[in-house]
Amino acid sequence: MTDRTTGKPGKVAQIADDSNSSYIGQSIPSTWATPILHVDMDAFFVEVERLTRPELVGVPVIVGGLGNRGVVASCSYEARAVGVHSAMPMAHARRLCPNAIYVAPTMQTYQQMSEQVFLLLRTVTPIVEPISVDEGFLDVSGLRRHHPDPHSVAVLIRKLIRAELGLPASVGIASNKFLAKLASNHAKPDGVHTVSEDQVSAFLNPLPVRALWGVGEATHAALEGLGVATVEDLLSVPAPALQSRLGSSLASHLRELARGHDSRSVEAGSGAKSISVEQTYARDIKGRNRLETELLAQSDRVASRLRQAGVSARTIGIKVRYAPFETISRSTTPPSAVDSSRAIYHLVLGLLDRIDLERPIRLVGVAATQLIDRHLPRQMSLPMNPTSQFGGNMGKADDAGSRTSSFVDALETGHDHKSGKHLAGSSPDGSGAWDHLADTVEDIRSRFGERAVRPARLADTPDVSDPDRLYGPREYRDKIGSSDSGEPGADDLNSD
Amino acid sequence: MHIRAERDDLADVLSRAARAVGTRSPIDALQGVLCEVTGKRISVTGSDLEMTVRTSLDVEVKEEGTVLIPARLASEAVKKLPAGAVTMKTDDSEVEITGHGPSIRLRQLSVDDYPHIETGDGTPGSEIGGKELVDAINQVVIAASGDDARPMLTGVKVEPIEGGFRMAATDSYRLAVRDLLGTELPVGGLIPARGLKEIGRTVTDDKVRLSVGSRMATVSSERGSLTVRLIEATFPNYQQLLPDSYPNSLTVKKGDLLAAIDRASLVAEDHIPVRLEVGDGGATVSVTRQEVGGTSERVEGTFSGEPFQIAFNPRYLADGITAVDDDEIVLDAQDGHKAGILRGANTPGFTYLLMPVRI
Repeated sequence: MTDRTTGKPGKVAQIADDSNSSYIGQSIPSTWATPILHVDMDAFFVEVERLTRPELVGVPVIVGGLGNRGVVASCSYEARAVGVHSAMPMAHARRLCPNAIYVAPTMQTYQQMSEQVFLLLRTVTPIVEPISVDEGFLDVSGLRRHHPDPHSVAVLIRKLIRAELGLPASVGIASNKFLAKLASNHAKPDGVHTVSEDQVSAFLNPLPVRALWGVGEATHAALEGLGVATVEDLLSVPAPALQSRLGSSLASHLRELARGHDSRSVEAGSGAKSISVEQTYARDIKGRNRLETELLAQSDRVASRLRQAGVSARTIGIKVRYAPFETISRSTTPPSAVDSSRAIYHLVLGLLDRIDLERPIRLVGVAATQLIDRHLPRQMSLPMNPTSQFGGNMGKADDAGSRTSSFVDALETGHDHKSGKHLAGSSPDGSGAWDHLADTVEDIRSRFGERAVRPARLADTPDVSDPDRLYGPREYRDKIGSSDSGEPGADDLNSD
Repeated sequence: MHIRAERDDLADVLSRAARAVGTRSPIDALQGVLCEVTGKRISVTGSDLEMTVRTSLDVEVKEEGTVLIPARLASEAVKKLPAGAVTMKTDDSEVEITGHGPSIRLRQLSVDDYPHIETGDGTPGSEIGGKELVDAINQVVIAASGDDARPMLTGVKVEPIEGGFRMAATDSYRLAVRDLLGTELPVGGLIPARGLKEIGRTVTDDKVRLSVGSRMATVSSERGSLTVRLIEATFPNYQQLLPDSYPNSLTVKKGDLLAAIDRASLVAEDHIPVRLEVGDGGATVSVTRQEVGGTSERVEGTFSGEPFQIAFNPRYLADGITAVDDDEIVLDAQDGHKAGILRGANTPGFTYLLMPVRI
């Protein structure tokens, strides 16, 4: 989800200026005290599937990995009615809802639709912060001259998404992100809910403490030990008691949230701190060769996201989870930032040497962190290649001819798998022709789809979901939200 | 085993051999140095299997024998004894090191567990001045990569040229090439930079012998031998990168340029490039860093060609200038997007090629 707000911030600034001048001496209408919107698509994957498959309308639909260890990625409200929810093991869902239609995820479609959603949101305001494929925050305080209150903006957004894309969305409205997200949850399905300033404690107090951002298993257990079940219970615990149980920073963080305070602002712009892709497998994978293929695909995807966001990564990491749940991460920071598939994969291969490859692996992922504007100064690499098809002389690498001749190699990286030798052309950088090539590849993909150009090694990877894939790859942006997804192009599969 | 030797001499042979001992060896025995006493000599071997250092010393031998003792502990123990004569003798499962009163006992490691270590394959060596070799190594190893993921870039390519041999190293951002004339080398190889860096600290002497075989390279002298296993990877074809001539050429005093870059580095740090505006009369060296500040200064020199601008990673640039053994530095360049070359104005034989930072 690229943030293409070019030109718009200026416009908003102007609106804000105008409104400031006209509001001099006046107080802002009270409703504008809650200018933060959380837009959350309802059963997003299911609803996207329904657009092209009318037979899915009105019946329970479950999208997710269909294999043995599959997990529910998204389910319709008909399925939720009988207790199915996201992240539930598929086997469990099948028992609860045997008559549902089970669908393998088609991530590329969801991704495209997600981009449409965010494009639409940005026609409303440029202050849009996507947190996953199907949800994002908006700060609409700049619209006060155009709308009577944020509720009216929310109504417009829902109407636009419904009219233009045919999808339902819920919107939560509040004074900050934390409350807005809880509000949208309350609004679901297909509704709007405002938590006004005077309703905050009435809204929050009865909620279970788990609703507080930052309360996971361990914290929940600690709070239970204190007899805390609801937000109200939490507020009744004396601060020192809470601090001694949770540590002072977590304790004060939770008390702030419990009072409905959250100072995080809506971050528009490329804002992401990390871009990562990971994949869980239904059957553990093993062996360097298989892992390399998976990591190449993931590197390619991460590179694509980086380029769409106009950033380069100073650090590349891999994550490996052995069965059962033992996760290790390794990362590296090369001299210059990277944003090409080739360079990222190259670094990933280096990290692979620090991983025990003999053990069965349940999950692998590639993460790009320390993101910087890709137009910052960048160390260029020497134009070396042992096979000489690329850059016979200094500077020759910029010739159009040599660019095309080594086209495939650009994506394949310079790692020679058979001999185990690393080739010289594989230096991690984005200099010269490689950079140009990666841009071209991205351009082709933006017009003809993700799979229009692929690394040669992945060329024979089937389009149809690999049964080994649980659900994924999951893509994360900024680690705030996650999107549940699957391989593109999967055929529909009925549970029966 | 029972020997008697001067403290400083014994500490020297132990600590030099210990330099090859890795800090984290999977094999316990490799944490030790192997001390073999025969005739009138003790020979000490330390190894991490990739690199092996063998030193030897004439000592007073009271009893021959072989022991394996913890490398760092043993050399530190000997150093800490009072100056003068030291004895080292086997006592059951321990080795006792004694000197003028104090006595330190170290548990032996099992000699049987020590792997067989090949040192050289009989390839005849070529004689070369130790200082000359070490200086040349120091000039090129700065460009070698420390990234084990790309083994071919962690080595120094040594190859015969007419009348001598050439050493080259690159981390893919810069390339350092040094020609050494006067010593013929029959064949070359890719030698780990890590091993070469140790020559100066372990076995160098007035004269050394360098031999490169099919699997390993050895440098030996009166003081001992260092053997490294060659890297089995293909070094990049770098010759194509070395042009015969460049259109633009700047000559400046090494000290002036180095001082300017040193000042610029104050602000530059990290990944902020230092810019050179090169033209008639010299170069303007500047760096700008948002929220910190900047530096700018003029370095006088002579110039021929078309004026150009180029930006470099300040550390890489300073590395290259430092490596040039000449009071006058030449910077050759085509433009701001192609590699620049640093070399000595009066001393041929060393070339440092550095890719710019794109700004």
